[in-house]
Order: sequence, then structure tokens, then C-alpha cells
Amino acid sequence: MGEVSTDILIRRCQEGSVEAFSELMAMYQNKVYSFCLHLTGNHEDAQDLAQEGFIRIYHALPGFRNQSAFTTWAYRIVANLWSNEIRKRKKTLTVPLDAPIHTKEGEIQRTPPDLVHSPEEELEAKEERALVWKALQLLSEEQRTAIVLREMYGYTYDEIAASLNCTTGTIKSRLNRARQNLTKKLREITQNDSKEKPVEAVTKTGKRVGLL
Amino acid sequence: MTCSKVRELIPAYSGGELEGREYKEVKNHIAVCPSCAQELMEWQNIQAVLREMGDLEFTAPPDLQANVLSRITQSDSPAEKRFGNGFIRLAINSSTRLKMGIAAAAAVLVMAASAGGLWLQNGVTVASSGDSHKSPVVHRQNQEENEPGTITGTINKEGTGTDTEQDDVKGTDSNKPAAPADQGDAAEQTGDSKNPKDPEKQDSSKPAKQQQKNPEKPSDVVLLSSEKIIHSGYIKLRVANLDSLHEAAYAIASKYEATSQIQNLGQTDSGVAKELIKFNVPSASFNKLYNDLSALGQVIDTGTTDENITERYRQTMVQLYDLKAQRQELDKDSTEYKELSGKITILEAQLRDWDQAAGIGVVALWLEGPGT
Repeated sequence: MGEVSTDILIRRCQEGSVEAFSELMAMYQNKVYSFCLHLTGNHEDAQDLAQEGFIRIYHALPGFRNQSAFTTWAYRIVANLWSNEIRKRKKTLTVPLDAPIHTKEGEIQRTPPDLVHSPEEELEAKEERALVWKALQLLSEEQRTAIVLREMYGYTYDEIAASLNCTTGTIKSRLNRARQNLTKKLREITQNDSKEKPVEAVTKTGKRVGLL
Repeated sequence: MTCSKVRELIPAYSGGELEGREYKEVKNHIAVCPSCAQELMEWQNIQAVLREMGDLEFTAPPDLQANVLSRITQSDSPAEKRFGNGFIRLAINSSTRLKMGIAAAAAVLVMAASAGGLWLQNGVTVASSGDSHKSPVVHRQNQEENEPGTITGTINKEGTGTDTEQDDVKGTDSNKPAAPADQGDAAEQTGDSKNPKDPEKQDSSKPAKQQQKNPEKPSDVVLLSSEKIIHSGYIKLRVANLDSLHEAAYAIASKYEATSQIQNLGQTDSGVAKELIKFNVPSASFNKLYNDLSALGQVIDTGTTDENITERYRQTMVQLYDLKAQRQELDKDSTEYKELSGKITILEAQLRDWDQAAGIGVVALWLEGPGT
């Protein structure tokens, strides 16, 4: 499976060759990093996740036996690390920077303080994507991860469950909630946008996103 | 079906996840309900956008590769870890050293805070300064989770979901010839090391799966009655004496009928010798070997990457039977027959590879010790 050069590099990595791993990284780091960025939603976490992910991949490589494509296998390791991290964060009750604030008057959306280098901006060229990205960031990490694995990377329920160490049933209901939630957030965003800038509520392609 | 029920099911419908009656009911409803049909279009649009986003490739930060390589080549310390295994790791064995560690960690924490470079948002990763080999190292993931005073053994114990297995490990220790000098450290670490993943999920599911395996006959029945799992894992150990570790490791390997292969990975500038020993072990003994090897030294890092290929295996088998059935109806000299035969050969080879991989587990033992 995989490209010949990948196979050769992997074989050398399995004997501990750091040079081979360096080459392998050069080939796959953008892919793995993108995966991390989609999962975490920000560059800072993505970089940490990618770094720990690659270190783990290096040590786990001797056990890799082409049971799946290298990227699939590598993504699984990364997704697994990320799910552990989410679990830790849940325990500490970390509030995402852009989580809505609950007050007596209802939910108040706050804006993340620094969007200068946010992936959101890099995606701005595609307005639809920017909207969806924005909505994704409003989901909990668990829900976002489920959406990313299912909808962006096409994982099956079983694969997601295996990557995140939970049951298929859990994934099913989480994904269900995540999808409802994503649609809801997207509507809220587009409705807010349309209040401010009514003309731009419809994208250039004429598609209306999440707006009934 | 009501509109609200249909709307709930639309994403799953659109993703091709519904079956049978549910699928039909949603389909029929959408055919006659314009607003639900509109909703479906909306979701399909979102789905398409998400899929596009998944194809987007971002450029990795320029220092990612250098950071990873330096961590691999140096004799790295667990304190540098940011995303850990979900456990607090302690590489120390006395409360005095623990206190020192916390004090030193606090000092580093202040430095880190002023430098603004460390991971301070959600987890705290700290290390005492000085010689990374001997100095106490505290790896804390978060402050809220534990009171400072409770860091000691409690988290490690949380990980000991497999009490019987652990007893087993300890019992064999006394029989080991020439145990490494830092065995004491190792004993404290076993709770941590043997549970690289979630303790509850991991440990409760594994034995069950293996028990299921026994009644299965090695046959090519399409509906597999057991799970096919490819076991693999790695253990990174720091040891006091590589030679005596070899003896102990090989003794463990022969106990579980594992074969091994050793690679000398040279020495770091600071005189740390590195080695990699790869063990192939019958899958049934994978966990035992993994746990026994983890107890041989000071654990720096561990992880398992078990992969359940049951579903893929099953699908491939179904596909194989389909092709074989198709081929039976063809003339043996026709090109279609030859094409199908080629595909069948490939699928059979794939199944053989999977069978082999599922029968043998691999443990990679990464070693670091004083060089010569």
C-alpha cells in the first residue's frame, strides 16, 4: 500500500533511522498538520498536537504493518492523542475563548480576542467555508472532532469510535447532536450577518447558507 | 413521520447512513414536503463545504520538523510533553524528591510564564532544571484536577484497571536475573505505563475480545464470529544498564514465545546509548509481554495502537465471495475471467496479510542507557 518511496522510508524508520523519519515528515507534515488544525481549530493547539503526534508516530512505527494507508494510521494516532487531550480539558472545565457567556439575559457571544492569524482568516476568501468554519468553532471540542472526522475526513462510525476510544453508540448520538448544533450555529451566524449587512447574506455563488 | 423527526434524520440520510424503514420514510417525506426538501439541500450544501475543507492543506509551521527531530534524537524527557497520555507521569520515587520537584517546577513555571512560551492555557508542563537524567520530573496536565498535595501515587493508581495482570508482573520480577538498578522506579510506574489509553475502555474491552477469539475455528466463514485486531505498541525506557536489560528482556520474550530483533541506534552527544528492540509475539500474549517489558526500567513513554480490522476484513471477504461467484459464470478463457482472477488474487493476498498481522503483535522497545 502507499507510494513506493513511502514504503521504503517507513521500513528504514522501523529500524530507527532518524534521517528516514525526517524525510517522511517532510512528505507528510502538511497533511498531518492540516488534520491537527481541523481538529483543534487553532494554530497553537495544532502545532502542539502535530509535534506530539509525530513523536508518537516515530515510536509506534515499528508496529505499523501496512494494515491501512500510512496517513490513515497516522491520523488515528493523532486523533487518539487529541481525544485524550479533550478529556483532560473537560475535567478542567476550560472555557473556549469564544464560548458564549451565559448571563441572566441569555447567551452572549464573545469574539475571540486575536483573529489575526486565525485559520478563519485564511479561509476568508471562501465565504461559505469561513461561515462553516466559524460555526464549527462554536461547537464543543468533542462535537467538532466528531464532525471533522465524519464529514471532513469521511470516517465511519466504527473508525471514529476506535480513534476516540468510545462506543459506536456514543459516537452516533454525539454526531447527531453535533450536526443539529452546527446547523443551528450556522443559522445564528448568518442571521446576525444579515442583520448587519443584509446584502452579503447571500454568497457570491448565490447560495444561501444555513438560512431558511 | 413528522417534520421535526425528519429534520433530525436529514444529516444521517444525506450521509447515506440510514437503512430500511427509516430511510424510506425520510425519502417519502422529503418527496412531498418542500420545507424538509429545502432543509436537505441546505445540509447537503454544508456537507459539501465540509468535505472541501477537509481537502484543504495548510502549511506546517517551519519549526515543526526541527522540534520533532530534536526531541527524537535527544535523550528526551517526559517533561517536555504537552499532549500526554491522559495521565500524570511521575519519574520520581520519594516524597522528598517530589517536593523538590514541585518547588523546581514552580520556579520553572514562573520563568515560563514570563517567557510566555509554554503551555499555560489548559495544562501545565513543567520540569526541574538541571540534568534531565537524574532530576525529578513532574509532568502535570492541569492544576484544577488535583490538589498539589495529591499528586503522589494517586493518579498512577487510577490507571491500574488490571490488578491481576499487575500482580502477575510483580510476581515475575523476583525471578528475573540481573534486574536493572532502577527497578524501584519501574515498580512505581507500572500503573501508569500499562495503561497508555483510557484505563476503563482499554482494559475492560481487551480481555473480552480475546475470550471471544478462542471458540473461533480458523475457517473462512464470511460472518466472522470473532474480532480481528492488529496489536502493536511501543515502550520507551531509560535503564541503568543495557546489558542486564537485554538478558531480562530476552528472558521475558522466551516466556511468551516472542522473537526479537535489536537495532543499535548509536549514542547521543551526551553519551546516552540508544537501542531499539522489536518483539514479535503471538497476539494472545501481547498484553503480558507489553506489561512485563514496561516494568523493566524507567518508563519515558508508552502507547498502543491496536487496530480493529474486523469490519474491513469482513467486507473484503464479502467482496471476495462476490467476485468468485461472478467468476463461476464466466468462460475460463474470457478476458473478464482473467481480470476477475487478478482481483481475486489481490484480495486473497490482502486477507492473508491481515491474518498474519492479526496473529502476531509487535512491541517496539526503545531503550536509553549509559553508553560505553
